[in-house]
Amino acid sequence: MPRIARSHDRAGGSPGGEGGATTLLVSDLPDPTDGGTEQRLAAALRRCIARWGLSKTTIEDLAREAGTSRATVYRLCPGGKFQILELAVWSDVRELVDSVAATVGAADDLEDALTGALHDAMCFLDGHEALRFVREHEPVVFEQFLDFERVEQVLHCAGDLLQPAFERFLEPADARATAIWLARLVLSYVQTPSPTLDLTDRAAAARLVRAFVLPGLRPLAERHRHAPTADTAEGARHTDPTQPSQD
Amino acid sequence: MTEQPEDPRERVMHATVQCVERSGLRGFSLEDVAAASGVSRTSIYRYFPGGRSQLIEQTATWEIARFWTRLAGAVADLPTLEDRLVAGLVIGRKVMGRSRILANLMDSELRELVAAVHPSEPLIHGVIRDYLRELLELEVAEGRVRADLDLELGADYLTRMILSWMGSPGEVDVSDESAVREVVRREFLAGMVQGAEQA
Repeated sequence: MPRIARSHDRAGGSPGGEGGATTLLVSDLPDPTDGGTEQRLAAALRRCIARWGLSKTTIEDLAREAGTSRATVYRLCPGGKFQILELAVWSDVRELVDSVAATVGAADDLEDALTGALHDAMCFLDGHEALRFVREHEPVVFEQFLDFERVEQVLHCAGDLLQPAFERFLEPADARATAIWLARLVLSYVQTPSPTLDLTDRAAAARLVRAFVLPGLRPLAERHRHAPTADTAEGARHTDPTQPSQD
Repeated sequence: MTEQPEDPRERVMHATVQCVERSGLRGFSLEDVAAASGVSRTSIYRYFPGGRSQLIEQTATWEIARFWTRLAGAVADLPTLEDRLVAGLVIGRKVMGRSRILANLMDSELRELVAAVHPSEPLIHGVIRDYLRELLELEVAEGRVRADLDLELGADYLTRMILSWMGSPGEVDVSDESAVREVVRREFLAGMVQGAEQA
């Protein structure tokens, strides 16, 4: 199974040290659609957590729910339920970010892309039953899981997976920073929901984007529009119908 | 850090921080705290009737509040919100990087600390938000922030960004002031400055 290694050793470097040294390769991310026993276990864990939470879920529950034996669970995941949790979480992260990337890819313009990305991500997480149970009934477990280091990994992962999608509108470095910025906002609103701004409401997501995100990106989008075009079909990014095409 | 607070309750918490720095979250006893603070064990129990777990919970909250208070003090003389945010992030990350507690605790101890801090988080968020709201009001009065900004929404947004960046700076070198200023201008303040469009 793919191992989500946390290459950063807490004893070796302080979490406050710059650079973070948390490398998580996208190629290491589990594929949520692979249909293997590991993914069956991850799905079983999600169902158990949605029913009675992480703390009360045992390996027996997981084996029964996944239709396999305890021995198989331990053979595949010697780290037990926390190893399966890592697998389930990173499969979800991948599914979420892939779906957001598709939304960005289909967007009309940068504003639409940003709003769609934020709205999509918040709806996905809001509809995640296991996550909802943990947030409501095991908030400390949730916070413990989402430590500084793991947040860094999620940001990094969002940068890797979403950068190409945002390159329609922004230069590569800006596209990456924007993906990470959005991931910050999503994490913040999931950890600390706002009583006044429900981002599963598209109008609220649009309001946040227009108020605080788009103004900072507009000059960068402008820069991208005027950047020299690469010699490939990349030229198609300048699909402003009011501009005459240049061949 | 070396001078002892006058209030005995604070002296106990101050000594607890020193004990945790020295021996980790589980490596010290209430006797150690009593010895380091000069407050008797009986008195410690009077201030913290819940014993060790209450002591740790309240000390963690107290220490976090002190971190933010000192940070606000360190940037208080700077002229603009932008300057304060930039300096606050640079200094704050530096302080966190030097923190012996964050550097030395084992994973399980950090998890315990997260659990201890959890109940007071809304309070901490609220205090930071109120502080930023006041700063935004000043910025509006000075004409640097647009007058039609929804101050609640703006302060809430800035709080989220600060907490996120303080905990996880991502791929930006937060010791580089000019890099941080660029981020603050773009990601924190661009929507708030004069001339930005209305929400």
